[in-house]
Amino acid sequence: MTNIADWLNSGHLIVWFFKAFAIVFTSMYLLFGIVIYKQTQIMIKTVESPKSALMLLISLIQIGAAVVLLFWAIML
Amino acid sequence: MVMDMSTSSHQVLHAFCVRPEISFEAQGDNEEVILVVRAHPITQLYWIINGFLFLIMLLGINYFIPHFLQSAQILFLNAMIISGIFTYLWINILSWYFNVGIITNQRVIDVDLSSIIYREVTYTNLGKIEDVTSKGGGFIASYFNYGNVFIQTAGTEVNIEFIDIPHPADVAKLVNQLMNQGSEQ
Repeated sequence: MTNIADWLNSGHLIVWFFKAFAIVFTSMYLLFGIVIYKQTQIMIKTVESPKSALMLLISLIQIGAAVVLLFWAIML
Repeated sequence: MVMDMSTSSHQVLHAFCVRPEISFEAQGDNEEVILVVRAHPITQLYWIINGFLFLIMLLGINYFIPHFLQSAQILFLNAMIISGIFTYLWINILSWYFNVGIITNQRVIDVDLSSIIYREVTYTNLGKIEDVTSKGGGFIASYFNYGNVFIQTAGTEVNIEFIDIPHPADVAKLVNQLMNQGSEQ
């Protein structure tokens, strides 16, 4: 019982809560990034322009950022 | 001022593109894109300002971050918020870019993308158009010359709306011209 109280007082709870929040949030962010990427793919087929590749690249960068954040959250 | 629709040009930060290098799904072989319109950039100012305000707020938040968080956690929190702001701006850019009205020598196409998830593409042949109305009002709209164009189609067909586009009167005039050309042929 005292071990649990010590663990709670040592700030581990905050660290674990923060980590759980970070992993859940970045997972959702990654999912959202994939949805945006897929939607961009569909839209550049609907309206094709010389900037289509750039639009797709930026959407892909967003997925990359989400993956980096997810790994960072796991390592946190 | 009469718009020159014969030469390619991009005006009002790509919100009013005459004969651009744009093609669309289901474009016919002899179909030629004459005009592509998007919302006037001035109507998009609110999300650009919001983005800057969020960044300023982020700086402010750093002063109030609880002291029990480690520096790595604070850094991660900042990275997460910056990513969120970037996403917010990117969604708005995509929404603006893909909410487009296309006028060709055969049809009028309205592409709508709302909240990234919902999209709607409406095609109408010039022959099915019954009425074209351009509306503009208010101090800012008058100053920057933007407004709405409503294209009414026959029967129960879906009507087309171009919202907050630059030079609405010229767009309505162009559609009328194309309709007349079509009926003469």
